[in-house]
Amino acid sequence: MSKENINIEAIKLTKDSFSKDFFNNTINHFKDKDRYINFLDETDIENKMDFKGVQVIRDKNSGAVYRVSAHGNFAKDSDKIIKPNFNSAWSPHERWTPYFMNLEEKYIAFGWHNSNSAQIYNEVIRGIDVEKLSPKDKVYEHFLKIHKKKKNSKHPNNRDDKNKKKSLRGSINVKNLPSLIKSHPNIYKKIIYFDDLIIDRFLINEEDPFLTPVFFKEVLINYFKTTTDKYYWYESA
Amino acid sequence: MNILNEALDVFGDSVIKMHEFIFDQTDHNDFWAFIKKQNKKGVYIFLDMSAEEPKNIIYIGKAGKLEFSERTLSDRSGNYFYKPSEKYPKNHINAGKIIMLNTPINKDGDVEFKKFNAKIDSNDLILKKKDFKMVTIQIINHETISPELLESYLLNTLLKEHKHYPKFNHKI
Repeated sequence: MSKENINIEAIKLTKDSFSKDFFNNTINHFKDKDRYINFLDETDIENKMDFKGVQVIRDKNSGAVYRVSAHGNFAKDSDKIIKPNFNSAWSPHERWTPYFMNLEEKYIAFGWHNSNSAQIYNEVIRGIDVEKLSPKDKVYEHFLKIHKKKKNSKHPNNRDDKNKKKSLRGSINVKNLPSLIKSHPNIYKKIIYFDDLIIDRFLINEEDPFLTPVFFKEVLINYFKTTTDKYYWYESA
Repeated sequence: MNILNEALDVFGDSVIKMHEFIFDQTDHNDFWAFIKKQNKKGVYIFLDMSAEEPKNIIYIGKAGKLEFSERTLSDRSGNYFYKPSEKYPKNHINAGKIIMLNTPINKDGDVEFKKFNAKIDSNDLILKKKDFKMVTIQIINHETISPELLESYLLNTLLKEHKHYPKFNHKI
């Protein structure tokens, strides 16, 4: 692949993204190269779990686009060498933010708001009021367990209140979410079932000669923002 | 600059406008005056002109998400340097004193960055004054492109076309 070709591809993609047909043409283009997956039709469990590229979640009926996300970026190691493999290639069942995908019950919950949602999570699941860090014995016990389990984690006596609150809000067990959503659906802004969704996956791996996932994501977002008034981003806190 | 100019040709003058600053017959006051004028959203680039292209591009950053932020290039790019009146914190041995009187020029006459998100050796934060260059790309027409697209486009072009990863960026 010559340098000129690469440059032309990136420029062409950017230019084309201003045309109305860009998204459908892009799907066809990726399909031709066997690099497009309609996630909800996908039966290969490996493809469902580990994913490198760009994902678009959109409404089957209204045409609204809920989320465009990149999965995989190039980072450096401690010696400032570029790692050959992507960071953050993504497994949907391991995340609760910015949205939670429940493969078993076939829905996506959008719009986790950390200060509210994590508060409810901690109160209901852990029985802890994060703001007041109470009951104190329960908070202490929680951090003591972490300290015993994880090497290098701080002893509860050495954590300040800010650190405790941050840790409580940031260490959520995603396995608890399905039952919590049932009792407290408002911990997410919106829940949409797979029947009403199309989930496009554009596969982009480390060896792609033209594209990084982040760039392709931004091209798609720019396209949706400039060609439709139905781009919604249920932003996480 | 050829690489940047070539890459940015696709957008045209009606969409973006490029500005640059070098310390040629200028001083720290001119630098801050330049920063203050960057009152739109867009992308800022730091260059070390002692290196050849593309290695001279050491950092690309964005300012102002299209809908959710009012932050401008001035707000964002200025944060990489000590502010003119910035003082040492209370618990510091020099508490209350101004950190760098002629910021971004340090006491040795070099340009000194304050910080980046990536972990960087403190020696790397200092550039010879004559080697420092800053470029901003202001987005004139916000209906067309976002700062995120512009930033990721340039990083994509540098990495995929030129095999260059700016040393102060921490993910692409």
